[in-house]
Amino acid sequence: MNKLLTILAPISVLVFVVLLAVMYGWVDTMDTNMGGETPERPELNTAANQTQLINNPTFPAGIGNGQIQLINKPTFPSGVGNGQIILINQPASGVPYLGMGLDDVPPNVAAQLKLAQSTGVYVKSVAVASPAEKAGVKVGDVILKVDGKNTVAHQQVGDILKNKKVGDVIKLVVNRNGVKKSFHIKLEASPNTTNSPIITQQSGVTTQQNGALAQQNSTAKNPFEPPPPTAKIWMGADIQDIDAVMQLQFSLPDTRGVIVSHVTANSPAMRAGLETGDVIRRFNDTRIRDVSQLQSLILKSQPGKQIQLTVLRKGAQLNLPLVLGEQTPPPETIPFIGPADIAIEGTWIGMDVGELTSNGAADLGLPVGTKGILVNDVESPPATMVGFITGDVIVAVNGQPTPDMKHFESATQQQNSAVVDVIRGNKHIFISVPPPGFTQQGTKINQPLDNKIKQVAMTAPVVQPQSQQTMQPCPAVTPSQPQQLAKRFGIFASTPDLNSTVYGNRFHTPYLIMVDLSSNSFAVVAPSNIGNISDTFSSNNLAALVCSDISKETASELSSRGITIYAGVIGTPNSAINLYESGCLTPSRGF
Amino acid sequence: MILKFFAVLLISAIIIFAAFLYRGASQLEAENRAANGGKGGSCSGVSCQKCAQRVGVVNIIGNILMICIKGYMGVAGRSKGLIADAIHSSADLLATIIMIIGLRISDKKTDELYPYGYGKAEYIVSICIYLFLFGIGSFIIYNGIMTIVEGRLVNPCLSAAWGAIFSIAINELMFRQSICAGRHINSPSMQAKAWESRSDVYSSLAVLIGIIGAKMGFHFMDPLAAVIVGVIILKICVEQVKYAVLNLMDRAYDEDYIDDINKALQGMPNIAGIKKVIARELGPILEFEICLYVLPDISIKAGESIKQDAHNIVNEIVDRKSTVRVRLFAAQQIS
Repeated sequence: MNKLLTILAPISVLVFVVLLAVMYGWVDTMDTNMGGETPERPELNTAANQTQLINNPTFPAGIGNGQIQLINKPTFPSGVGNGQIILINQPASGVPYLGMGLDDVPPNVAAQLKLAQSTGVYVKSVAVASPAEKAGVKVGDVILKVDGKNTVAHQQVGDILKNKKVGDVIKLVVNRNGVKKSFHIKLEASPNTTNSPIITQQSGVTTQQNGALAQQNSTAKNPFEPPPPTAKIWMGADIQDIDAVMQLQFSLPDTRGVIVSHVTANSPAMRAGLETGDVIRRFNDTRIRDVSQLQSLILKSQPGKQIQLTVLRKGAQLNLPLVLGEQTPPPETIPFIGPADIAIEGTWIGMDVGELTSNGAADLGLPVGTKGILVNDVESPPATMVGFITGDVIVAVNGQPTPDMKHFESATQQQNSAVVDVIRGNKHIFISVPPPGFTQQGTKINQPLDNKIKQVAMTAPVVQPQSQQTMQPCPAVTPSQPQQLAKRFGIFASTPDLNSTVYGNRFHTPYLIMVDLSSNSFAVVAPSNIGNISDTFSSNNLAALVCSDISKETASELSSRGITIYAGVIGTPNSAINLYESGCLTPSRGF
Repeated sequence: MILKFFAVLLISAIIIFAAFLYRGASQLEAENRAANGGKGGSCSGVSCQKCAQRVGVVNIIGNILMICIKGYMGVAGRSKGLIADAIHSSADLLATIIMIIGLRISDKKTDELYPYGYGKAEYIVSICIYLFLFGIGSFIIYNGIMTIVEGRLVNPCLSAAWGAIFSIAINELMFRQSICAGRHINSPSMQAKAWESRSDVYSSLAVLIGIIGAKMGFHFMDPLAAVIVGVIILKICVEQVKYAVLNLMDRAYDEDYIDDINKALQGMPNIAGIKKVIARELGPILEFEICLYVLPDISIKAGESIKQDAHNIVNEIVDRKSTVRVRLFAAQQIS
């Protein structure tokens, strides 16, 4: 026995030493390979830091854009724009029919309404008892948008309708005597197929955006998926990750923890005394990093179990005992149809808003008496970037309630940045609006511009033989040196111009601007010529992509080829190039 | 989950251990004060003896705990320096283990095959192990330097710093205990061991600085600390191998003892002179060979008593386990 011990003791220590030595060799390689668990990266410094707005660069949803980041709530009813998906997935049961006669806008009407040239489609006639008439469309209206897409020619309306089926709801934004109005039209089968002004093919093709969403809803790993029905443990508070804007507005010391955006009445959270705006820092002494962590902690717990929440409220730490409850059956989620007729009374950060009427509240399935501002149409950045969707009801801005337009206007005029309390579906969420000139990540956009970047001729759409001869192929980013910036990268933009807007490919079809910093040149690829994005990137040696948002499929495809993605960037491509060059952009990870 | 549990267990074990060390030290101090009537300083009280006996066990337990915590924290916290320090601690632990094995082996009775006993086996084991550790140490240095040169990102997290802090605290406490016990029972070897754990404190301190530096953005500092620890490991290895080789070669033992013994032997009656006194180390045992001149006409009985006297003198001077061979020569010239 003793003999055995004398032999075993040194041998075991030696084995341990070998193990440690192996680990020693691994330590640095581990760091670059395992993205998920790594401690915070060294912050990229420079001018951006002076604002102290740096947000956690890891996007919890796994998709690097603001939109997803903010609506990443597994408890969220069933994704975004759900009504249409549900309807689309229904089998086509006839030929849809709108019942409008359309034409180009007559010049005198355009002049009278002060419309820009070639915008809108003129309604020449409305058939009796047609869906259009039921919805309230009148002769003389100018259709500005159909389903969020600007309409230029009346053929375009037909194109959009081609992909619709009977029972689908489309949304129109019209200009009637200078006032914007929106309608929802439920498509019906034509009473007389041959006479239908718009004949639709029974194609199963959906628009790209809806298709993507529908696909996401069917994947099991989808972060939007509501929690499995077996999970009944319930706290009754809507929670969100904290971003830089929220930190500023709620004057929080840092962005650790999760913020409570809403406390459901008669819920365990309300009984425990949790309030909107509280920051949950600890759950039973476990530090809370993000929403998904807290959710998994809650799901691991038992109904009826008492837990201890450490909460930061107005700078003071509180301990709240909370007894978890069982979830009452969730209220029926009403597919978003939207109020039928609403006047658009204002615009804010690129979206059309109007006062929510009582009918509208009922249509949205909100409790009677809900007052707020309805987001009727989300048109352009920054609203598209920060995550507003049509049908959101804004009930407060920076803590000021906005029951009507007057309050809303005063609330929004006061501040540049805002945390907006929004009801979406049956949930309250906070949406942060960064101050102008900042990205949601808190980086400053308007740095001094220099026009050193020159455009080079783009001879072939995909391959760029000319520039490939003149430019040195840049070294691929080695995984052990992630900070090193590649010299060649791409930017999604709205127009082929460096002073346009940085775009994403989730809601738009962007131009691709390819930038080569080593030769200070750029080249533009038109949307129709991009083709397969990752092939384009590979063939042009681009090692990074700057965009405002990006679809999950594209993101994973690109990142699997080692292309760094900088999502959530707002501003002009010019400023984006400067930001990129100075290392101010934070790569989005977790694809 | 299991790993986390393991870590919690380790940390609590370390805290209990540290508390035990601290309490024990202060308690003994108090006992000594009481025994010496209020004045501190040197003593040879019973409590100090007890304390000294515990030093070995405490060192082993402390080192094992530290290897575990540093290894775990180093890997979990991704700190090269801390992992290197864990290997350093392993080297210390191995030294202690080799010493214990040496004791065991030398206890073994001599047999026909090895009539001089197994004393030298310890050195062979020690050479093998330290040559191996030398390789590991070289790897640490090489890898650390390559990390710095290539600019690979080592990004330790704060748990690694905690590992270093624990290590500093425990090593310091162990140093205090050993040095106290060593001074009080007048054992230079124990004091030497105490200073060894003090040097461990410094290496852990370097690691801590490296980790904090890396956290502040100087990413080369953590591998740099690892390289420093690697150099320390190499130094230990070289020293140990040198010691083992020299002892295998039967190098003469420390002059001080020999001089003392020479002086004491000169005072002996019945001897005509001292031919030579040599000594070698056989593991934990000191082997003396004493050659004395005696008058050629003494009886064997008188000779035996001289041998016995020489034995006693050596045993009085040398406080280690020792064997003494005394040979008598007839002193012709002197008569």
